[in-house]
Amino acid sequence: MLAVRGYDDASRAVAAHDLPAPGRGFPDEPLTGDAWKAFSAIATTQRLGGLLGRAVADGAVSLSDEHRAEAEQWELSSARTSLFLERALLEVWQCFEAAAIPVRVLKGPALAHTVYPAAAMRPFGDVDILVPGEHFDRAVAKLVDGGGARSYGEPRPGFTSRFGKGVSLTRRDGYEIDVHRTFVSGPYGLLVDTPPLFTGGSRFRIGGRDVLGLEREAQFVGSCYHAVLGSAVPRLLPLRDVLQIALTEPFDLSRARTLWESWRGDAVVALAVSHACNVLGVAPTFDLAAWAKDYRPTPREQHYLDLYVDSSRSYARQALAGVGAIRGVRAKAAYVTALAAPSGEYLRARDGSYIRRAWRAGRLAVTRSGR
Amino acid sequence: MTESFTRADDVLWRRTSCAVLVLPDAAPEATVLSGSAVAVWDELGEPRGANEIVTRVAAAFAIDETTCARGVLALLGTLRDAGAVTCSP
Repeated sequence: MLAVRGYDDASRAVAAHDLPAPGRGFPDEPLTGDAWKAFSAIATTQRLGGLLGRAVADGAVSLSDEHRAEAEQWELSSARTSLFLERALLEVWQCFEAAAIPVRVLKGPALAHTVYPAAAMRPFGDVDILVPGEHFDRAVAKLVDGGGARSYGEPRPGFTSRFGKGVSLTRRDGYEIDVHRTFVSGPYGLLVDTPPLFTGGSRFRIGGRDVLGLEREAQFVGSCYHAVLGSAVPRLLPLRDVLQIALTEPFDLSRARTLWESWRGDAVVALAVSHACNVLGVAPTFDLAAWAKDYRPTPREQHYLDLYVDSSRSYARQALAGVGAIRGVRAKAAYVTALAAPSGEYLRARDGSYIRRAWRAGRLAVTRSGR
Repeated sequence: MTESFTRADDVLWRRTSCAVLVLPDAAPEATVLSGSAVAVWDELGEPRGANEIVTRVAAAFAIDETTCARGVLALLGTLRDAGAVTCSP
């Protein structure tokens, strides 16, 4: 069971505003005093400025002039950031296009332009792109050559391109580009078969150029992964994304099911859809939600989910459990070796918790395999 | 001969509930358009002459065309100089 904390009723109502199905309504009590303070803290950290602006404009929520002005500033600030990130995205897109590196835009920019009625409703704080494993190192090198600073290295050369989730790079202008090899770390990321994701896509246009996101159904499954596996407590916008995609035509549920089943992601999708309905107050009356509501994870699925959610979340355990998701003895050995015995350069560069956790996972794996 | 104005193909922009933000290629900062300036931006979705834009915006906001023209022409000049709008003969 996922926690419903970190947001109040008003922020949940904002996150549900203007969904294609009726969602949670706004509280009757006016947002004043401490309630406004609590709400504004959530709205800004959860990037709800765009949806709040829409809710105010639609008359769904009434704010004082002072609070309305504040909300307008949040919306403008979010939109401004999104525009600069789109500029960064275009530079990356052109760079990769010139280098013949396949790429698909994930999350914010793609969803804003292909799924939401208005792009400003779905602001974003970084750019996420998916690159095939075989092109991953070259893609990262291109961004580093362009001035990007990699936030952390990898246990051994080639580890991320083969097993990892991806890497974050901070550009000279301060904006962040997350280059993904897969959606999430750990077993669920390792089970995603990414090559087919590059055969199709959702085309959208920014700054006079066509760029590609994932096909709609892959966007949906990826959003489910991001919503419930990407952070200990699911954030509101990713939960909104799940329902926004599922309830917006065209959406081929059968195609989506084929994808998530092939990645053994049934429990992830069920949890994401159920939790999104719960948090956003959407009745689980449509087919997908009804299925999700009744879904019972297998013991293995529950074990995998526990690695990601709430207080059980642990990178070390995710990394260790990843061994079971890797096919082939040699690949498993390479994975465990990299975690248990990372390069000296990597160890010297790291003094934070990440390496300690990865190290712990590798040691744990070696200990268990030796029993 | 009347010049016609339209949005630059490569301009990034976003409509919020209260404004339009415009970020032309290489501009160091986004320009915020609000009020009747948003209506001007809307008119620029297809090529139009300045006079036509003035007439349409003045009618939409029920304002005097002479007053409207001053604001619209100034805005068109600013947007063109910033690279957000192109102008063709």
